[in-house]
Amino acid sequence: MTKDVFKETLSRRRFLVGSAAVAAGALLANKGWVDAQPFFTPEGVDIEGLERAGFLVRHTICHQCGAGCGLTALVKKGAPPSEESMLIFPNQSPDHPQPGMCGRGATAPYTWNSPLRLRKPLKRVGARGEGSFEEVTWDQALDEIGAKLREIVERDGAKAVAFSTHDYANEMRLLAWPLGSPNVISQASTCNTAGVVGRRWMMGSGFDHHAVIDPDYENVRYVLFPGRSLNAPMGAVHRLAKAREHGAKVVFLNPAHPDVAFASADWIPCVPGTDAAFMLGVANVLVNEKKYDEGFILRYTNLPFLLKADGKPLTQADLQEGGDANVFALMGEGNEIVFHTDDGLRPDLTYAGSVTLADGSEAPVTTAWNRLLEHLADYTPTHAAQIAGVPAATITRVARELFAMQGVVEDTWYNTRNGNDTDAIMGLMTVNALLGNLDKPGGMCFRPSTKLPGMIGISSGTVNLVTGDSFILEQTKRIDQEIYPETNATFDAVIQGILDEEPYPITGLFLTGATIFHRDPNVARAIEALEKLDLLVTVDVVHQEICDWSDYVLPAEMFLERDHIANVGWTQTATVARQQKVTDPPPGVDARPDAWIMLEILRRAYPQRAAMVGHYDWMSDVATWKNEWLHRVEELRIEGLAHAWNRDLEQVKAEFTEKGFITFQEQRYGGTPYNRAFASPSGRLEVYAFRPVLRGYREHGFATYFDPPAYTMPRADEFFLVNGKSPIGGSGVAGLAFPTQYLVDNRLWLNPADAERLGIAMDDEVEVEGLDTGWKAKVNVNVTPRVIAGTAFVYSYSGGHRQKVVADDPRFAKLSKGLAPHWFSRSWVDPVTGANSNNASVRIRRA
Amino acid sequence: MSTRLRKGQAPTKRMAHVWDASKCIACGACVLSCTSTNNPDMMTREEKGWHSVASNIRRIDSVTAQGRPEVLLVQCQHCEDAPCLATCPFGATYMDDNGMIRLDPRMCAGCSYCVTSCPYNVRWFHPDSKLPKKCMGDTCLELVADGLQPACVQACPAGARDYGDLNDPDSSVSVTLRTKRSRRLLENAGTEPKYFVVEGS
Ligand code: SF4
Ligand code: SF4
Ligand code: SF4
Ligand code: SF4
Repeated sequence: MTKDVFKETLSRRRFLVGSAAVAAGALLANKGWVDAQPFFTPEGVDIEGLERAGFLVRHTICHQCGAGCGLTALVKKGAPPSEESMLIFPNQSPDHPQPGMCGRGATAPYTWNSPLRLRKPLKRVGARGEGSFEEVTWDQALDEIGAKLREIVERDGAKAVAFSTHDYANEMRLLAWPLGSPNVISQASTCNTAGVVGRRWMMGSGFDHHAVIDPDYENVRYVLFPGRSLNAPMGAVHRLAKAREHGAKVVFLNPAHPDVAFASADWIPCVPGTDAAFMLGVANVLVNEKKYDEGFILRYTNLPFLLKADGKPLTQADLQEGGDANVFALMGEGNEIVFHTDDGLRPDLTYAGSVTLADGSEAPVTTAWNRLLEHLADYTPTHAAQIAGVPAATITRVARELFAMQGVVEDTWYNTRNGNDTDAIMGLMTVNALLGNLDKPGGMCFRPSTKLPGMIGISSGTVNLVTGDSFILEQTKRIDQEIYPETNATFDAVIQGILDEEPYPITGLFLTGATIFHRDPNVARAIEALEKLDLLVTVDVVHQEICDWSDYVLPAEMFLERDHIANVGWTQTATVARQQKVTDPPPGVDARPDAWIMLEILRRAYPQRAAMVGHYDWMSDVATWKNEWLHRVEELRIEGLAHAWNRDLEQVKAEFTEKGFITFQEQRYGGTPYNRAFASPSGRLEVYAFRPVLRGYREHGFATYFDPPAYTMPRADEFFLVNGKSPIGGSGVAGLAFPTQYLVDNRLWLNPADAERLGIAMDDEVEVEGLDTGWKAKVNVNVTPRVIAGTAFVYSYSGGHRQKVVADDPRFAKLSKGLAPHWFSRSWVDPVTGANSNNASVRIRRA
Repeated sequence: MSTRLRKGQAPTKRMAHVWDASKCIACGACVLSCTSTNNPDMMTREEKGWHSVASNIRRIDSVTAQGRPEVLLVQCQHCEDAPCLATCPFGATYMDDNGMIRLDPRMCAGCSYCVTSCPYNVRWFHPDSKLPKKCMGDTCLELVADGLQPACVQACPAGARDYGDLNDPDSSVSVTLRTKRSRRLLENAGTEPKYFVVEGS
């Protein structure tokens, strides 16, 4: 079969033209890398030798997506910046915990000198959305933005100015916080919010970030990825490949087949938004077949804790006059109430009965474990399988394999899609709790702190810079936190602030590396908001669609042009990496650092506030600012790091230059929860989450399946519309890289069964209509078994780019084809968690 | 630099590319590194024949008979009985001492016979020089000349690529081919390709 397809593709011969031109003597000049080679030896890279031979080695951190893999560049010394004077490859150190690179990383040189690269500051001259600009000087742009900003702050207050970014929050805080606005709000609610809240509810703050708990990839025996495609980071892929060599089994649960699953992994196609049901089905099998770690459950989960009839935990305050409401009760041996803070607990997992409360009344109580068994009874494999659209036998098999192979369920990253995803995370953590496979080789393990000081931070209303500068931020609660009590960042609150002026008006917006049109749901509503703004400033590397709606567009330095130091994420070692400047911007690109841009806007609006963060008028020259402000900040951070680990500063610096990274602490097992408690109310892994119950958000604390509230459920011949990332073009910048249009399919995927029923053939054009937004768009179809029946799939970022520069440049013609899933999603927000959603439901007809 | 073999001469080394399909995550890093390393001038120009990026590696998506999605990466197979070499009227395509099929641009007339005769359709035309291009690219040849791995091998995050000498029983490629199941593409075309697709252990 393969060979036939292969032959068929090969046989589509091209028509050869113009080959008569004889190119005798067109020997390509030797590109001159060969001289560098003697300096690469198995023992390492001889950087000094390379320098003498005319080459520079530059280690850096990839920023083509948010994962930050380790890259290394070899650069010709003194050569003018060009693609030909640099070679980029993954950091070659065998002990780098997160070496690059994927297709997006490999597009870095394409991004660096892309025809779509922003070259000069732009000022809008046409209507919003039209894409007509004039080039202006940096001075003019910054002065005008500063003046407008001042006008807004004086009229509406500082909090009327909002900021959003994916990767540059600290840089934006340099402007926001001295200005007095708390409103730096990331993309989290369409990415990781559901997971963050789910983890926080079960493990507590500090354990909620998606990079804090991860499988010990290199040693896993069995790993199930629900809704994660593992398109990043590449270090995880790299380590997982090693585990595979030793026979590890890798399983993806996903409506669409992830690219990474090509590498001999199992793919279980499932209906979108049903992961919670699948996980609870697995949990059902585990408890019914007694395939769980009882010792772990007793000691490290809150399943032995007693619950009252109202679902709240029984506390010392319930039982004793003046007792502590934060101390929870369990039934000890010999039917004696004990408290979770007591030593040497031997609780009864299955107690059910009644206790006498402080007021003398009798109250029925039962353990959370008993309640879990009742709860899971609803999720038989058959029932869960019906919901998830998988065979019941698959759920049973996965549960048995997970137990037999001491597997783990990965806790996902980009998980906030359907409105019911917090429960999916809680469901998978319930399975992990039953397996008890935490902080052990091949288990779910925790990232230690690297102790790297941040550039800017806040604690109890006081803003502190690493430089020692410090000031008070009067209002620290962000607009999204005023609406959604549990959110980590809900940008929709900014849209509400603009449109409804509730809870207060937002009139100015700054965006850095934030492609609203390929990030936030309900594009029509976003446009309505953008049109209403008094000031919209976009800072970016390439010309995104959002630029066309902005009053000013400012070209930012790309990662290849930056010096920085940052944590290495998604590893269980404490590793910090150095980003060294690889090259200057290409000729004609006048890009500036994000931090400098923010500081200069601040200075031009309020010089005395810029002084609060150590920025003065004599730093308006970028080179001077880099030598003074930036250099000082980065030096202080390295000093703080060396000091925290008791290491010699010069040695630390030398090691960064040589290797690009330093691991200060290797992976250790047996930490949490064995020697360190969780930060949850009970200090345990709360399979029954107390926080949402105690705060009145939920009746009970278990993961539950309910139909996705984020979109109208599709009926017959309507479809779920889901999206996912490709490791070639799945990010804001890489989505606009030239090769993305060829290597990332931007057709709409439909299952062959659906296509046949609707009479749709491969490559046919169809019209897609959002059930909730009414948005209509035409797109070509890829009929493929890579998506489950009843669901349509598109790669995010790979299509539907509507900016004028893309439309005007025939080289990028394909990027304007395809569609952005955000056109069809209605922007439903969970009132408690602030989780938003980019999945949608659509009608599909032949065009 | 390796020397050109004359008719009937056998290469000292038989360098081969190994691609482990059971490890490949279809991330495209090799495809793109190949272009930016060997043909940086083509980074924003379409390869008009394939309507794709001008890389010496092509990605082909397909489905197995069992309905399993599959991806195939195809590049010059450095055939031991290479039709491109046999059909070149000008002697521009040759095999070198490493067993690599190469092009001497000074002798190439741009007649395109090699391009049409390659059963793997891996050759493309550079739009300016009008010369055929394929693996190994100039920079990769430089990289391997002194013992480094070519760009695609270095780029791969999944460890799915390797390059080494089949004549050396201890080379990593020989070990892989001895211990794992592999196949060659268009085995029946008689080209004796030296590109191996590993299918797992
Ligand atoms: S996953 Fe790819 S794009 Fe993201 S940081 Fe790593 S190499 Fe770069
Ligand atoms: S794959 Fe094609 S170009 Fe390469 S050696 Fe074989 S016939 Fe020649
Ligand atoms: S060896 Fe070099 S030229 Fe050949 S496919 Fe790999 S990167 Fe491309
Ligand atoms: S770089 Fe490696 S994993 Fe990525 S597509 Fe190429 S062979 Fe596959």
